[in-house]
Amino acid sequence: MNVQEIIKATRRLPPEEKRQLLLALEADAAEVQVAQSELPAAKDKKLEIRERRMKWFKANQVRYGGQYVVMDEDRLLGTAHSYREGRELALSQGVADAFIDYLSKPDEEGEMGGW
Amino acid sequence: MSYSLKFSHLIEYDAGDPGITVSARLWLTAEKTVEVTAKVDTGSTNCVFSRAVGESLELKIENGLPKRIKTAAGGFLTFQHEVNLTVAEFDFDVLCCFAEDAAFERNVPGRYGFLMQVQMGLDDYEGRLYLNRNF
Repeated sequence: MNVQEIIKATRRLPPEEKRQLLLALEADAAEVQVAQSELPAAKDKKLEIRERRMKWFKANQVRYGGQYVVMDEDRLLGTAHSYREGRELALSQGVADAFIDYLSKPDEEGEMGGW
Repeated sequence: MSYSLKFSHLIEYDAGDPGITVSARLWLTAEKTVEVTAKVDTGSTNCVFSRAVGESLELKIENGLPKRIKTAAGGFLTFQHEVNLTVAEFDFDVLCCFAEDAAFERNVPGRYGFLMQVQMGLDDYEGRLYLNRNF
């Protein structure tokens, strides 16, 4: 069975089995990602991207704080009201591994309820 | 009317312990990694970890993005850094807060970065936390 036939077959699966398949594929992809990220060049690149992204956060916190930022490396793809909206935005632009997280406003306080 | 969810992962914790306790791993690379015991807190906006955890990752804490966290008893300053957070085999690329004060010893996966990316079911009577990743 080739890849196209496998994709065609998976489309006939019930939703729960599709979900199980997706989880299995994501677990495999994560293992590959971890293995690749351990290569020296990949490791340096990832740390460098994080450094550039941190600079971007600091430079743009006033403008974009209070929203979810959706980023391809240190390039802003857009902002969103929730993580879900952010992920949909990233996928609509073909970026499956976008960084998505809430960027606080400079003076915004977080909360901890239980402690 | 009834509702049902299915979960791929079950974390069993000691319901007699204070808090909903899970094992978590924070990491930057295979060499820079730290295992922690954390308390899941739906009332926490952010993922917050102790300064010692950040320093184990060789982060320069004060170089992060400052964020003050308020609590019922007052508040404290943290600095956010981007790290990988792994809970129950799910890996998240997330801005975590690291406490400035070394006396703060809590480790708390909160909403931004963690809870927003999962479905969570809680049976505190049995000490069971059910998890799914949302995508």
